[in-house]
Amino acid sequence: MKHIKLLLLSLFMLIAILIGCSRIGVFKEIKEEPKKIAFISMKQGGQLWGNVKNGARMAHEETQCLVDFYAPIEETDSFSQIKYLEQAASGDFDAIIIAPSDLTLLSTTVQKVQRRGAKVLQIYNETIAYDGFEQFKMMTDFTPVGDSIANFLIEKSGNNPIHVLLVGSLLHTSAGSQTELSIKQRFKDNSNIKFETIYCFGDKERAEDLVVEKLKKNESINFIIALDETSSDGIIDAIHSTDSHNAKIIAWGNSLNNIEGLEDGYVDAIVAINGFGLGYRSIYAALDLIDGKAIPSTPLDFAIVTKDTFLEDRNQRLLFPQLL
Amino acid sequence: MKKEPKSIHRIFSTSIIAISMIIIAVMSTALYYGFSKVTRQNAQKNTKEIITQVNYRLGSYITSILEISNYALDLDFVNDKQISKEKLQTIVNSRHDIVSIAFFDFDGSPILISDDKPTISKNEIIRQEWFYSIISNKKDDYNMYFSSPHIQHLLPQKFPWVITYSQKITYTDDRGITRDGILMIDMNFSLISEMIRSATLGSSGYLYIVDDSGEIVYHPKQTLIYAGLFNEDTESIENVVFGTFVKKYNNRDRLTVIQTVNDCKWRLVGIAYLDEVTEGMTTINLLVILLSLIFALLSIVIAWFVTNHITYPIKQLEMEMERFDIETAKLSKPIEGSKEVYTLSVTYIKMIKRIRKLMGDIVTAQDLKRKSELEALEAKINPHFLYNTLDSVVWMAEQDDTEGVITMVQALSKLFRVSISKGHEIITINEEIEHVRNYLLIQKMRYQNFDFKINLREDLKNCPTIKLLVQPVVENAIYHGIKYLVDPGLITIDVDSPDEKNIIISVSDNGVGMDEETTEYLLKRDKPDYLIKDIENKEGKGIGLVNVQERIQLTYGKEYGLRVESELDEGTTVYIKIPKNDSIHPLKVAQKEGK
Repeated sequence: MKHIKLLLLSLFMLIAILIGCSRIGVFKEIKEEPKKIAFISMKQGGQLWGNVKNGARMAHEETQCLVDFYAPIEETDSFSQIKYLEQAASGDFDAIIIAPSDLTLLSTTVQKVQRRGAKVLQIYNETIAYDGFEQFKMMTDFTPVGDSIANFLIEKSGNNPIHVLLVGSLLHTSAGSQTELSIKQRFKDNSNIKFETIYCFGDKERAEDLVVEKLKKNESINFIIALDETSSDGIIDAIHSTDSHNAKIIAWGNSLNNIEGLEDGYVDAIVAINGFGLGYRSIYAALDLIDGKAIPSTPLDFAIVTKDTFLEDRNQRLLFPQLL
Repeated sequence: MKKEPKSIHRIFSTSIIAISMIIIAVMSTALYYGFSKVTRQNAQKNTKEIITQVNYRLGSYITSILEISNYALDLDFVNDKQISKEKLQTIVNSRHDIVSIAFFDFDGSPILISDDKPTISKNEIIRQEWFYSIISNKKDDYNMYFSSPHIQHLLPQKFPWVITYSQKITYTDDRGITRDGILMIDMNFSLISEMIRSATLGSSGYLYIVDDSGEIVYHPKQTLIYAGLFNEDTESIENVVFGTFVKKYNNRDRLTVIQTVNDCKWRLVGIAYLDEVTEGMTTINLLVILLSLIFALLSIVIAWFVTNHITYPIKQLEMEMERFDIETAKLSKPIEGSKEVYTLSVTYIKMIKRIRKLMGDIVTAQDLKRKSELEALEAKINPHFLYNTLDSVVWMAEQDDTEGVITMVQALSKLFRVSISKGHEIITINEEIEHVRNYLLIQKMRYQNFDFKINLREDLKNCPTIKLLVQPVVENAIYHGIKYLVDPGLITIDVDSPDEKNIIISVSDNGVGMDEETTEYLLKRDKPDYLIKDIENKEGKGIGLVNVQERIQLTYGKEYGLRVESELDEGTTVYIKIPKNDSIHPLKVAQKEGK
């Protein structure tokens, strides 16, 4: 009798456990807690960062990770980036993706939060790397961009003297610095070339004014190269407000302003960067970082688009990444 | 090493459980595969149905584009450009899926365009895929083309993603010359993609379109594909225009359904992930596992019950046999259970009864043997006593002691009457005491060196006792106690009842008494040799008291019998304990004597 009771009790308990388990969903697919990623871009708005965010959103849909976006209103506002970085590091994020707007100001904070255990992935720009400090970065090498621009300059200038005006927004960004350096490196043995660099500090009106002033003072300027979207907008505005100039314009980014310029002929080339791919890949890289895997070495996807190459499939896709 | 035999319980339960488990396993497997098959078939059917529906919608849409093209071709777009343009504009304005409609000459010059003047030159026009595909086509029977998605930069500051339908046309220009031209209809890509995107195949399945060259026309991950971040397995569908197959891609089994879209050379491809379409299988699997577990447990319980039902009576019978004491146990009823066990139980009870009867017979036979032995003993004593008594009578007659002769003969006569007792074994205590009294009288007359006293309570006189109990004790007192005294001895007989249940007859003498060891062995049949010799020296074989003891215990039980208290030079008392039973009538012999 004792055995029967024990057996029936066991049976009852087993059924109860099974029913209980099925009710609370133990048998349902055990879903892993989604990874949480903070995404700190250089600024709110802008075609490039819009595409980057779209790419990140696509990756988020695929991976089911949670992505929170943070960005200062102005790209010069590095302190807001520092604040967001510290907040994210103190929060419950598994990883932080950041496009630092200042390679010196942000470096200390990046190191500090990394030492506290935060996993920080730098994209587009990178901070100063101190000895013995491991940085995680992706698509921060802009040397090929500078090389491609240099090739364009060579192609378009022939053997004529070159006077290049480089217009950047921020003084301390690795993207701008590397691009500039790379261009200059290609012409270091060429005495027939002259470079001038100006910065507008996130203000396109300032860029416009500076370019107009430079064009008035130096009629020899035959190439104006934008090193970012803000500068590019300022250059195009400057071109519109200048009656005559001989300069060829290399705009930056796939803004409608630049594409129309290319269409109308006052922009000679556009540096089109695959922002969508940058955002998409950065999420996967962050997930790799969380899992302790190595960050894949991925070159920046970009193209120098001219009016002649505008209709090429690849360039169409770079300039108009959103099909819907 | 010898294997321990397995119990019936274990054999039965193991067999039942094993058979049940096999049945459950077979049924579960059959159920699982049955459900899997049905679920997969249903999933395939559903996927096909969804794709068929989307294909139908897409086909209808393509048909509507062809109708628009037919409508446009009916227009007199050469001679009546204004009216034709207005009509085309009406179509473009009323349908969001149409971006623009235009006629071009074969050199790329626009003939008529639904919108304003195009911004791109005819050189740029002829470089476009939709244009040169028609131009380069030499076959007259194939004069239409659907392009891949592209940016249509026909109008200033407009860069829509479109799919362009182009068709070779022949028209007569305003100079009456027949020329070749191209009709172009730009379809809004986002609306086409929306039409397909709305159909879902599981949580991550999707549909996409490829053209006849294997180029992807639409894909939900087109942005990723264009960015080089995603690759579609177009190789596997390269030569398939219609059909279904399952193929592993990126470590997942994919059900691929391919259908051709009417009126164009597109193929609609549906991708459904089998792990998703068979998601419902998880619940069914769990149910099957749950049911299997429940049935398995039930089978264990049933096996336990059935086995127990069969083996419990056998076990009970076994236990009954193990603990059965043949002499004391009561015979229980036959054990309930199966017919075989019941019959076995009945047979066992019969066997026990038979054994018990045989044992009873043996006991009876032994009792009879013992009785006959005692009777033989009594028979041995009496002649000896008779000889001595008659010798005394002769001696008294020679002495002319007539009165003594009479007294002795009378006493002897009474003694024998009681001894015979008409064969009765049970007599009253009074008769027994009278018998002893006569014996003492005879012995007193013979030896003349002792006296005796008898105290018998009146109420105990008719209480029953087995006969000749006291006489051997008295005889012992005389021969082993008094005989060796120099002074006259005294034998006292007291009959008393200390309680309601027992009667104690004590025979005391003031003889030589016995040492402790002799007292100890007095009532034992097995005595040490030196003691037997000593007793034999004092007349007798020392078995008189043992016989009395055995007779009492045979008749009344072990709790009754003799107890001896003795002290050297002080005397001996023998207590005879018998049960106090209801009074009986004295024998006729005694009654006559009494009268």
